[in-house]
Amino acid sequence: MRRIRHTTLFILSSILFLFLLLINLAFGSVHIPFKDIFQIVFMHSSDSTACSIIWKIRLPRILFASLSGAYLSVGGLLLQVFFRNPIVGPYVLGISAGATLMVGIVMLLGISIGLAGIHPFYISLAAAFGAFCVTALLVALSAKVKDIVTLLVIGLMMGYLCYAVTSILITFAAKEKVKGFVLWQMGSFSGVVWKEFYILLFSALFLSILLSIIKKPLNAFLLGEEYAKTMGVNIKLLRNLIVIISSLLAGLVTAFAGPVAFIGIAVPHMARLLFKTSDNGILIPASAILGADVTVLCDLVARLLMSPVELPISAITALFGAPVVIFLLLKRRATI
Amino acid sequence: MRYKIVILFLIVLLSCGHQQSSGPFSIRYGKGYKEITDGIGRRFVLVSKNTKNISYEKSRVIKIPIKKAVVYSGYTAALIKELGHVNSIVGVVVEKKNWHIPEIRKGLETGKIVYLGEFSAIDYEKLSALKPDVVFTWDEGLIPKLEEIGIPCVITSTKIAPNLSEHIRLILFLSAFYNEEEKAKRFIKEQFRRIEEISHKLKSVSHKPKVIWGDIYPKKVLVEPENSWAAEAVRKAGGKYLFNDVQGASCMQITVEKFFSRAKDADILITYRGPEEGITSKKAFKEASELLKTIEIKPMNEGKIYFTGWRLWETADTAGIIYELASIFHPKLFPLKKHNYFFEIK
Amino acid sequence: MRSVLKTEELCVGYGKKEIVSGISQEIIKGQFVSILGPNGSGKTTILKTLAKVIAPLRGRIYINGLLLDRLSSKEVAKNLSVVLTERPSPGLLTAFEFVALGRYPYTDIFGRLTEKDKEKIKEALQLVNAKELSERYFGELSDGERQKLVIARAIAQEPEIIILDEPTIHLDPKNKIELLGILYRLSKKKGVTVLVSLHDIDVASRISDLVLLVKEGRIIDFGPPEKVINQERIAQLYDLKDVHFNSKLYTFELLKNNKRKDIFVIAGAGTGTPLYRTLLRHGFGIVTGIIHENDIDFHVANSMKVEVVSERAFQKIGKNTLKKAFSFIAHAKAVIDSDFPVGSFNRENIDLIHYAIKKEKKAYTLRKKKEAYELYGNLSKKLIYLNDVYSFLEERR
Repeated sequence: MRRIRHTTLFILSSILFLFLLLINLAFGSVHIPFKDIFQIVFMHSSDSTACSIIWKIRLPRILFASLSGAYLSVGGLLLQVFFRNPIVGPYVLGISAGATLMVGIVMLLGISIGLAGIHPFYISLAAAFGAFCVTALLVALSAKVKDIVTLLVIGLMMGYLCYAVTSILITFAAKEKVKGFVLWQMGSFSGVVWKEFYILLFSALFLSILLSIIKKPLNAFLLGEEYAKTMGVNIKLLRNLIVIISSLLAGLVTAFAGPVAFIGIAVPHMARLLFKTSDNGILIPASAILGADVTVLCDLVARLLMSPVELPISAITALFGAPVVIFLLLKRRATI
Repeated sequence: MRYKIVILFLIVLLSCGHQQSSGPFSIRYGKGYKEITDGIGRRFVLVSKNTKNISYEKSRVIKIPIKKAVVYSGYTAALIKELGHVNSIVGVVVEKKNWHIPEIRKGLETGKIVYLGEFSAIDYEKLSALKPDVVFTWDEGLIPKLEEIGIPCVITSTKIAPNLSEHIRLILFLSAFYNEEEKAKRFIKEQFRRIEEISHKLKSVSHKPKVIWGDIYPKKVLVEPENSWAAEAVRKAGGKYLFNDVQGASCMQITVEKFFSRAKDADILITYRGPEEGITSKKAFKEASELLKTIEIKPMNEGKIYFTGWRLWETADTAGIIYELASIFHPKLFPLKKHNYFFEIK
Repeated sequence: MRSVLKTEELCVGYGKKEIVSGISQEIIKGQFVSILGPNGSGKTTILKTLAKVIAPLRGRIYINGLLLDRLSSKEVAKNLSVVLTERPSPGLLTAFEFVALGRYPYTDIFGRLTEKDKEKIKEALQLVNAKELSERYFGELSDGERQKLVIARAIAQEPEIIILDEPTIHLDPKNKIELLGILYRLSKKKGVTVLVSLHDIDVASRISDLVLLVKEGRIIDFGPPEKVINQERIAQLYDLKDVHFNSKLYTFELLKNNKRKDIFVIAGAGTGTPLYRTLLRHGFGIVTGIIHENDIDFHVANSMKVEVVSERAFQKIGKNTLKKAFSFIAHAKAVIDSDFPVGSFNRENIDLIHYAIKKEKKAYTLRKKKEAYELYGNLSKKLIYLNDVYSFLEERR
């Protein structure tokens, strides 16, 4: 019965994903006729502008957005299970703030390379590093602080701390630099390139192996840390894996697209409530596919709603997603 | 029905006095006073020093000619300078190093002009100690506090980006505060005459270069909207502005594909990002933007890139800006010895 | 008789703080061991240490003769499973999935369940009578049902030892009894050693093979309940003063007798017990008789410190006993006939009624009029008939 439900949902969300991919490919602020798109995608031929737009701008953006959605959702799920709290996500725990601070240090203090200003690669590196630092600190503290709420408050405080330092940096930075930084802070999938997508794709291979292994102890973790211990879970190893995986998941996306809010906290809820399970073996792939669906859809709205003006992705994700989550939560039967 | 009559009556009443307006800014002349409307439609009464007993809210009554003004934007300062009253500026919210009007730099140095702190956190204590006659600002957030202190706060910006005419005519609005309307009118007339002259010369020109004006960040693109004075200046100077479907109050982020579909054929890119961000050459520009490595746009190759900066915002001479643009677009028609506002990045 | 769990000079606690020390005990296969002690005495700490959740401060623990420290957590999990006081809230897991978590030490790295695993899970569900819950969500179930599943999960882990920390807390009596029944069957039929901390001394004493008494960081006694559990030990364990513990019935009595002995209750075969409770609760001073020493009324009355005129078990009531009863009645204000069954051993109790009426005491009876006539003849007209003990309270008010 449940298996049928899960299979149906997986098939439906995959079909939805493919459909959204096509829609995203077909619509943009520049009009390209359907038959041309078909030709461009499958035969690489057509007039060069449309070809460039599809191959260099639209396609990498769509693919990157879908992987990002999957990344952020799974990252959020891991953190929610690990901290045994339904409201955590990279944003709430200050992980995004950590990434922002590191990027701020690089962009605003102008640790620049040569004449070319700040190389984009360093921004990405900084974001990933910032995310890693905060996650590692939180997980290390979670070994000492047993109370989840305390830990959550610590996470919030770290977020404020990072924002505080960031705002001081902004105050003293040159105005031209601030503008670029403020722009970066408004997350967006604008201008992603194939190289970035490939990085995400290859880490996805590596991450799926880790995720398929972590699924089992994570399920045991549903009963709480002490129970997990008595069932033979290596808590230390699990902690370290969680740090590595979740900071990679959140950090890589933030690195290339800036902080994207809401997906990480909301999609795991959607997955749980739609699939009606807490089994991480189901939830991990479910969050991934739903995350991709939601993110691609939101990105489409961000691109098209006020076209050609582009809206910040975080605004769309929250505007669109918050009511959905509230609706699902009101409908649910059991607690999370 | 009653309402309509009242409104009709008001319209008749308002049209009684001699009125001048440019966009939202307007001045109405009454006996012994002027009633003005600022950028967001708030009314003020400007009275001469010896007028008494005006039944108007205190923070909305300004005695003119004003002697002391706090100024937020560089353009306002430039216009006041043009009116010959740069000495009336007593307070600013931009640091000395970011000012390029010599009088203001000097004033900040000698202490004649007070730096009130960054706009995001201005020092109200210093401001009220300064007792300015008026604060010219674009920051509406200032209004409640200044009304409480009792300092008139006049908004010099509008909800939408000012068009060229509004941009130039702002000087008339400011002149009302100094009783320098005649000077302002002469200046405006001269500006439009020079712009007209350029238009006239351009009549014979059939080829107009395609121009884009905006900033390319590592992953995002922002462009001047069609309704901005910058876009209009491009058109007046004989260029073809390519983002005529973008509307907004300031530079707007647009989709990369839209940008690419236009920029690929553009002849000239005008950008605010320049040497201060390490963009000293096309090569450096490309290096700083992942985007430019992905997509090929003409200005990066055979086209041209011009950088513009503070000078654009600290000059009253809009016609001069347009002339310089025209000389870039049509060098043969408009000879120019020295660039003041736009500098090529090669 | 294989030793399953053995400790040597074990000292448990957190960090530097010793909570219980000097634990050197041994448990053999299939034994049901209860740990009793007041809150905060260190029961949980002991259990968590034995389960390798926290590390011991000193001493050694052997499981099946192997040192606990040397075993990997997975090996420990295969030998020992745990039910903690902390209530798990796994959200949207079905009962089956929840119990399946118990297969953790046996499944492969991806956590896939084999047919054998599924068999074991079903078996565990069956054992706790929760087979029909299998497809329901854990979060939807009642406390009792959840607790059954928690235990089923521990069973699915196929342990030799199962450690439970206050598994019956928060449960209603029915679930409590059912749960302990499951544990009892587990130890007796499956040979699983059960180590459980409880607060119910009565239940613990009845089903345990061994009882461990812990107080203020010390083991005060360890042994079979018949040896260990008595009034003195329990009073010491829980610092009881006004409460009486009956080591034969394993029950507590909070009620105490009034010093005046105004009412004589003629009882037997348990008919007196409800009367004693009600009367004492309402502040009457009572004395009861004549009751045989093997009668439940005798034990209850004793634990309430009610004076009992008693006769040795299976003996006819002797003259001296009867005389003693008469003298109590002579000093009492009223007599209550509790509707006790009359047999050849206690016929003399009827004489007590006669005596009371003769002495012009008020004599109440809970019997029906017809029955009373058969027993007491014409005297029955002088009795005051009560529907229940409450009408007596009305009467006396």
